[in-house]
Amino acid sequence: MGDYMKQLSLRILEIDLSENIIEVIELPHKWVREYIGGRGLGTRLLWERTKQGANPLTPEAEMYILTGPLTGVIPGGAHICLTFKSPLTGNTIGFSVTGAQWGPELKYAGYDGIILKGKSPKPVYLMIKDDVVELRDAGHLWGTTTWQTQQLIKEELKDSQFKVLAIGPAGENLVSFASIGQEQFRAAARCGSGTVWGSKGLKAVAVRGTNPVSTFDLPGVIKARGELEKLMLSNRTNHPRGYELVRYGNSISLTAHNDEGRLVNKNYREGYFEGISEVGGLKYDLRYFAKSRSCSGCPLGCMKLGIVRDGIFAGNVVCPDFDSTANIGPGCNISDLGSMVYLSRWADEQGLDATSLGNITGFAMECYEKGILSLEDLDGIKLEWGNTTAILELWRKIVKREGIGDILAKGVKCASQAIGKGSEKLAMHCKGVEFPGFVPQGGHKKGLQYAISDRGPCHHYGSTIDEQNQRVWADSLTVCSWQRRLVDPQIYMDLLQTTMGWDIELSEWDITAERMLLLARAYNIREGIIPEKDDVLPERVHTEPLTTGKKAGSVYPLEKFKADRLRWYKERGCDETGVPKIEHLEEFGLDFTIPVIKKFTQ
Amino acid sequence: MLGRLDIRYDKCTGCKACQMACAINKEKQIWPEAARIKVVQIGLGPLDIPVACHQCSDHPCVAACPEKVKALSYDPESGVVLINEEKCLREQGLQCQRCFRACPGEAVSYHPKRGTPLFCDLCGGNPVCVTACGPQALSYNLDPCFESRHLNRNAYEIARELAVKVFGREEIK
Repeated sequence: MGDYMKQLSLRILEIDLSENIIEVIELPHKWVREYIGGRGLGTRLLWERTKQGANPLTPEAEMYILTGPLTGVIPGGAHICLTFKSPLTGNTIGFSVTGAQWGPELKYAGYDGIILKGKSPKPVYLMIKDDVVELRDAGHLWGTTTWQTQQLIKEELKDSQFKVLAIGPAGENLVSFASIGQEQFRAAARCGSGTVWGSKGLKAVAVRGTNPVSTFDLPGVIKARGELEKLMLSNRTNHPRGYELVRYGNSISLTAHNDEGRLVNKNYREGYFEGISEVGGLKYDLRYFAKSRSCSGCPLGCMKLGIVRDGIFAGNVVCPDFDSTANIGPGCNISDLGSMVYLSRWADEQGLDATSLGNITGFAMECYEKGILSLEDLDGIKLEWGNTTAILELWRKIVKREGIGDILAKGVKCASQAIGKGSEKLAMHCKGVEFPGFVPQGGHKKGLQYAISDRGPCHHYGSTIDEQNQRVWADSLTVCSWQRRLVDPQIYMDLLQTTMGWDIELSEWDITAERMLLLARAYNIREGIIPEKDDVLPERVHTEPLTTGKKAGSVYPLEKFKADRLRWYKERGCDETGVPKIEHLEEFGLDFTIPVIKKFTQ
Repeated sequence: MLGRLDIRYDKCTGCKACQMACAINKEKQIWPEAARIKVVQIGLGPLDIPVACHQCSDHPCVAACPEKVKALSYDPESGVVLINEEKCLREQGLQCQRCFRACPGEAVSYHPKRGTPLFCDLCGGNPVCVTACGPQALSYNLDPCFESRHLNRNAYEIARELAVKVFGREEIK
């Protein structure tokens, strides 16, 4: 593993919100080398620094906002990964990734990450301008949307080029699926990251950096990143996926997934949405698209900024992406394009995870349809499929936590337990985290990854070993996972050798990824997850066949699911109950987890 | 004579690859803040506006540089403004901002460490920012009739007009 002393060390800001203590700490080289950065390193810190069984919303809970070795250096290396204990599940790891410009800006300020701990006695925001780091009063920002907060902070600091991560009213009010937003439409949304900030009294983190990035071998870095840049520029036109992202962004794929019969519709009862021709395909491009936007350095520009040009939401600037629109649009049976994209923006403004929010709304709609929730239970809201006005009324209640909104704000699992009357069977979640945009009956691979994913269902986790290894690497490096699929991973090894001074080869790719994923699995077991019991899908997936679309008649049979899961357990070095084998943990240098695993298996 | 930088604001995605390329070429560092071109984000969207020197033919920055200092000069052969950093008052720690104030596009920025103003020399006729621009918002225009002075305006003004162009309406929310 080379000579650690010669290698670059990380500078991490440790912020104690309770005591207003701000320190710069260095992390052990061994951890950085073995866990790279972002998601991997966050998992290692979470294991080491937090106590078993800690409540994710108490002062002792910590959050790690980490860049990776390539953040701010390479085109598209714009991402950060936020790692924490998930308030949505209460007993698993939570992580959330966001791109745009915030991560590189932190690097240019001279830091590789931030550790947040404690709880501020009053609302604050963290201001970082190069060497100046301070907690500032956020009393006047409390209650404002993520958009307003971003704007107000820039005005207050008299520099429009500050990059601001902020929570909205949802995070302040501890809605379990609150997000953290930046650049208006970008968010680290999943797993309740915004809820953690809300519990700590942290409204925002504003960063401005004006320094050069320190690297181990600067000429080498410049050469290697230049090669990647050339490749990415050529991918704009020469790679089919790259070309599609340049031209259409990712929300165009709604139609493709619908055609395959696996797009969410009516709370995962169907995998086909009959209103797709109104909201899918080129409809957005033709009617609302205005211009493309990119993350830092990326030549693709897959974010499609637009404006609602007609209907009741006309004049609203929007920037839809696949997941949020899938769950809100087809998921809630909304066939009006303007409503779908505006609702997705509304979630960003209020600081809500649009994916979870769409899922919960679909759940409540089905409860209303089946008479489980009465008009009275819903405080008079006629929550019919596709009723946009009713949806907005309901969402306002969720953000304010009033009446039915207070119940739904706890997430679909807890809400269904509170509502009862058989609604538990309509709650589409794993481990307490809401399903995203695919219907497992129509796409078994998606179903498998929903169940085995360590942070709860997401299609980012990957369904095959190779996919999972690629994604965990992307989140740890930290680079865009689209870009990861467009280039040869060897290029990242060249970049790591030059940026960090590591003696690293591509042969380590699978080993490092497996180490990170096994550690996350061990962490979940430590915190109370029983894999065999918790790596499961809701009953509907196994028993209720889809009735429309290409996959009409399909379920994900329980036996097939169990066989798929068992195959995956074996491939990942786990026993038949999903617990990592001791010899496997030893092999991957995870000896420190062995006492926990041994205790669990006894 | 060299050409001039031409900008299609509607095509800019705000990735700042131009900034990175400029800093690498001029400073040999991964240091976007030290670039001669800057992309700023403004308003709803937000909209991304590249701010760069447009090589005004009357170069008001040169005229504004104090007579006794003459750190700036116009090179008639290439058509670009050159800076002699040693002569610049800012090099001596003074906070002179005359070139910045004279620039109609507020395109003069200061080096984050040295403090001296940064001037674009079009990389001698092969601007690296243009090569790095994926969405082709930046181009290098060699037409001698192309006077890019109309691009050389306050970024907020450009953003206001751009919003009307891309969103197709003045009232946006």
